[in-house]
Amino acid sequence: MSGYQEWADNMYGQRDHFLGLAAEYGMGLIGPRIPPLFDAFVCGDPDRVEEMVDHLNAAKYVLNKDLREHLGGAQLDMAGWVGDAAADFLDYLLQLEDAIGLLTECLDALIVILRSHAAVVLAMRQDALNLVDLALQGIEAAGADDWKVALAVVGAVAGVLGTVASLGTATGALVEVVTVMGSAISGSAGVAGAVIDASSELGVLDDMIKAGEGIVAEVREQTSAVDAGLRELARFVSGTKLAEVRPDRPDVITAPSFDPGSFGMTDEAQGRHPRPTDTTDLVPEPKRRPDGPYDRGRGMIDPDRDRYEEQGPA
Amino acid sequence: MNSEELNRRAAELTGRAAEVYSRVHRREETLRAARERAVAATGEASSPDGSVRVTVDAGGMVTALDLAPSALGSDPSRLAALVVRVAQEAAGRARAAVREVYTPLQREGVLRDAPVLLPEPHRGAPPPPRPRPQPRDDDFDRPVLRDEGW
Repeated sequence: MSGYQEWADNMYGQRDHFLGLAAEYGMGLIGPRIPPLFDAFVCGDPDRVEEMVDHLNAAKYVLNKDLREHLGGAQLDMAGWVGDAAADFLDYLLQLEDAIGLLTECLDALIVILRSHAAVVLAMRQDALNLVDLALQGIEAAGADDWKVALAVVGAVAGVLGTVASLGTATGALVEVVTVMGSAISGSAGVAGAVIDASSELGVLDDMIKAGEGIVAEVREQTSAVDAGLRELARFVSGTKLAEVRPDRPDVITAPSFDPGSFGMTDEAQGRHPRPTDTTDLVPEPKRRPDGPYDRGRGMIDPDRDRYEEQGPA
Repeated sequence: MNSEELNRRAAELTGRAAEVYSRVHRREETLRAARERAVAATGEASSPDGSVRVTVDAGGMVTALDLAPSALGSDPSRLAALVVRVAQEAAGRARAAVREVYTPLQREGVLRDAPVLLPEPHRGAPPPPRPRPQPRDDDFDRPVLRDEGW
C-alpha cells in the first residue's frame, strides 16, 4: 500500500469514527460538516513530490550531459570553420549553453516549489493529527466532573513557507520565485489562535470542525503562494523569455544566398554523384507535436490560444 | 515529521478514535436502555388492610386506584387521607425503582448526573383529618335571618 493510500485510509477511518460520535450525541448540524474536513485533509501526496524531484534531477543530469558531451564537442568540431555561417552557428551554440544554464536554474526553482508544496501538505497532516488528538482528548475527558476542555491548536502549516521564503543564497529564477512566494504569504493570518474550548461533547466536535476549517483555509493561502511561484517560474520559459531557452535557429541554413551546390565535393571527388540541388532547409524545422488536451485555452475570449507556446510554431 | 512518521501517528489515532467511539457507543446504548427501564418503572402500594391500592408511573402520576367495597364505607376524610398516604408510598417506590436503574451507572462512572427526582415523600404518620368547621355562637344561637326584614 502506498504512503498516500495509508494516509487516506486513516483519514477516512477517523472521519467515520467522528461521524459515529456525532450520531451518538445527536448529530445536529455537526455531522454534515465532518466529511468535507477529512476530504480536505486527504489532499496532497508528498511521496509523489519526491518522485517528481527524482525525475527533475534526472532531467538536470541529461541537460548537463548534453552540455558537456554534445555542445562542447560541437564547438571543437567547428575548429577551422570560419566565416559568417560559422560565427552564426557558434553564436547559436553559445545561446544553447545559456539556455541549458537557465533551464537548470528553472529546474532547481521547480524542485524548491514542489518541496514547498510537499512541506505544506506535511504540515497540514501534522495539524490535522494534532486536531484529532485534541478532540479525542476532549471527548475522553467528558466523564470527569465539571469538565471543560480548553486546548490550543498550534498551526504548523501557518509558517511552513516562511522558511522557503527566507532562502537567501539562491540565484536567477529561484530568487524571483522565492520572492513572489514570500510576498504571497506575507498577509497570512495563521491558525495558532484556534482552540477547542467546549463544555459538551458536541461542543468539542463543533470546535474541532471550526479549527479544522481554519487549517484548511490556511493551507489554501499557502498553496496559492505555491501557485504564484509556479506562475512566476513559467514566466522564465514563455513569452518574451521563450527565446532564451529555445534560441532561434542559425540563419545560415535558410539564407537566401545559400547555394546547396556549394556543399558538393570537388569534381574529381564528386564523380558521378549528383550535386545537392535541394534549396529547402538542410535541417528542417522540427514538427510540433499535436496539441494535448491542455494545450488550448478553455476561455470564451480566446479558445484557440496556445497555452504552451514553448512547443514552438505549428 | 516525515510522511512515514505521520502515517504511524495517524494509525495510532485511528485506533484511538475507534476505541473512543466504541466506548461512547456502549455508554450511550447503556444509557438508552437505562432510560427505557426508568421510564417503564412503576410504584405500587396498598393500605395495611388492603382496602386501598394505588399504582403510579415513573413521574409519580397515578395510573391506577383500587378501592375495596369496605373502603367506601369509611369516613370520606379518612379515606381521602389514606389514599394520599398510599399514593405517596407508591410514588416513593417508583422513584426508588428509577434510582435503582441509575445509581449503579453513576457508581461505574457511566453517568455523571442522575435525572432530577422529586424528593422522597413524607413517610411519617398521616396528618390528622382536618377538623370540621365548628359553628360559631353568633351563627347558631339565634334565629337565622332574625335581623332581616321581609
